[in-house]
This record gives sequence, structure tokens and C-alpha cells, in this order.
Amino acid sequence: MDDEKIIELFFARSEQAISELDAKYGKVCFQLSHNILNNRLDAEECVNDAYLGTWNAIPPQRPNPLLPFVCVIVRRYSIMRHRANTAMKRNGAYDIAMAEIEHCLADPVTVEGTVEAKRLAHIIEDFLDTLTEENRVIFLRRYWFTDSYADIAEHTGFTEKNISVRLTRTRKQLREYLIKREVLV
Amino acid sequence: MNTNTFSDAMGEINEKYINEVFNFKKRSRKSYWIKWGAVAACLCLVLAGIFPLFNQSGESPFMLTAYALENSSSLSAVSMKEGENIPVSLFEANNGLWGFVFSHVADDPEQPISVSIVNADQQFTVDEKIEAISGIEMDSTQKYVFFVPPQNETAPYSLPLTMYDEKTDSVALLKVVIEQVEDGYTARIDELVTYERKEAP
Repeated sequence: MDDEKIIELFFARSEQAISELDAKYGKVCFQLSHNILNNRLDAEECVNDAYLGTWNAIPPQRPNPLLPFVCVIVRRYSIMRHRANTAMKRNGAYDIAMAEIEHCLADPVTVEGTVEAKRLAHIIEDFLDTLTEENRVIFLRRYWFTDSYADIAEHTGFTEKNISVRLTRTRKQLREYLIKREVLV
Repeated sequence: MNTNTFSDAMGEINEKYINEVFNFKKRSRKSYWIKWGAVAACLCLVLAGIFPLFNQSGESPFMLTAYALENSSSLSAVSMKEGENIPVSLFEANNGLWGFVFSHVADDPEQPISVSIVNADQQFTVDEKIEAISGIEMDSTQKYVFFVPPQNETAPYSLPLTMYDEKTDSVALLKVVIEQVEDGYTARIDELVTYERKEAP
């Protein structure tokens, strides 16, 4: 079923919208959530919560395309669950990906939390615009979808080594960009 | 800034970037094979031409390959011939070092890929390791040399190399000279001397 018909079902308040959404994008949503949570049950619950979130958001919203819209909700719920689950200890692919980029963000001068997420999001968007499409997709696969190097290689057709080198270079560029934009000093 | 702030900000970026990820077309394997097939074919031709110069029996174990990026993207791997200038480029390794890359046949292809770093002016510690070089698909049949040029010197650079061949139990000593030209760098084998290895009396 195409996205428009699924959205029409949401507008008609038909519960079939959820089952059609799940049939079409369930795997992608589950994989995204599982990358972050590293737990099947938690991931399933988060995906269901995200479906409910989508149900509440449509209407009034009419997202086009539908998949990124749903993925944003899945990611948000999964990160909330992850933070609640692992307040004390680290686990899973999400932490590995975040640990990787941590040193690139480290800044002894700036007080933590002074950068608003929305302002930083705009700066990150500007940074993404400076990258080639390939490097942008690889960066987002790693730090938005929390995909492993092997998964990124599978999705993009590059080797894992090439992915590793490209990410190292992109993290370095990000740090320089954040310094240039005075997010980091 | 901490990773939570970064992660929250990533969650706020425009959905068009996420959509781009879903619409990204995987790099075609076909073009990969065509590219590497062409490189291999060129390599074969070059090797065929060079064999008699290196060794009269027609099979030289001392084959040095120079790597260059053409048009900033496609890789060329060319076997070097004594006295001939071959284009070379600076490559970035996974540890952030930049250097020229050469390779020769590995003594034992069963061993993991080896990359020797030639540290011209001792500008970093010898603990540095290279596991990947941007733009080069390394394979275990080759032994790689990553030459980091001296930081405060300009070209020409001189790179002494030693190669050992187990089958013939012989050693080759080479001097490679890297020069800067208008549109990049070239490398040339200036000296090539082979010796049979002898046990010390």
C-alpha cells in the first residue's frame, strides 16, 4: 500500500493504518530501535509507542514522505527508553557510536547544556550540507540510525575499512566545523 | 557539549536528510569490478613490460607498485620501472597520518596485511599503526609502505627501501625519489641493486 493510502487511513481513524504501517515499515523501525536499545522486547515496545505517536500526530500532520517521519518518532522513543534503561551503565551499539564521537565534541571551556539542541541541529544541518552525499549518508547511518560498520557497508556498497576511514575524517571535519561556528572553543 | 546534546540535536535535523539515506543508491558492484578489472589489466601490461628489466629469467620478485589518485577519486596502481617517473598522491590513513603509498609482494600472503610506516623525520611515535588507507583496498598478497614526508621540508624526498625474496633468497636495495611537479607528485626508482643473501662466515 502506498504512503498516501496509509495516511488516508490515519485520517479516517482506521486502525488498519497501524497494521499497514507495520507491514510496510515495521522492519526498518524495529532495526532502528534495536540498534539503539540492543533488546528485542524493548525495541518492539518502542516501535509500538512510535506507532501510537504517529496515530496521535496524523492528523493534523500529513507527512510526505512517511518513513522518515515515523523513524524520527521511533528514534526519539528509543533514545528516551535507552536513557531510562542505562542511566548507570553503558551497553549496545548506540553507546559505542556515541563514545566514538564523544572526543570530537569534548570541550573543556563550554558549559554543558549551553548549546540548545535546535540551534545545534541547524549547525549540524549546515555541516551536513558541506559533505558529499556518500559521506553524509554514511555519517547519518552511523550517528542517526546507529548502524554498525558492517550494516553501513551493506547499505552503501563500500568496504568496512573505507567506512571507518571516511567516518574518522568526517568526525575530524565536524570538530573543526563546530570550532569554526563557535559551538566549541 | 556532551553526547546527549549531540544525539538530541541529531534527532531535530530536517527529515530530508533521513529521506536521503533511504533513497541513497548503493554503489554498484559492477562498476567496482570494472574499475579494479581495468586496474588489474593495466597492471598486467605494465608487469609484462617490466619483467625483463628487473630479472633476466622474466620473473622478478622485486616489483614496487606506486599508488595515486586520479581526478581525486579513481585509484591507479602502477608498477614502477627504474628511472621512470610515476604519478603518486598523498593518502590519509585511518590514524590521520598522510603519506605516499607503495607496495611490493608479501613474503607470506597467509599473514595479516602489513603496513610499514616510514617516519622521515621522527615526527610521531613509532606506536602508530595503520589498518586502513583511504581509497585503497589493501590485500594480503602485498606488503605496504606508508611514507610520511618530513614536515618541514619540501620535495624532493628520498625513500630508501629494502625488499627480500624468500624463493631466490635475494635482497633488493632501492632508492625512490619523490618530486613535486605542477599537478602533484611523481616517484622514480633512482637506484636498484640486488644481492644474493649470504650467511655470515
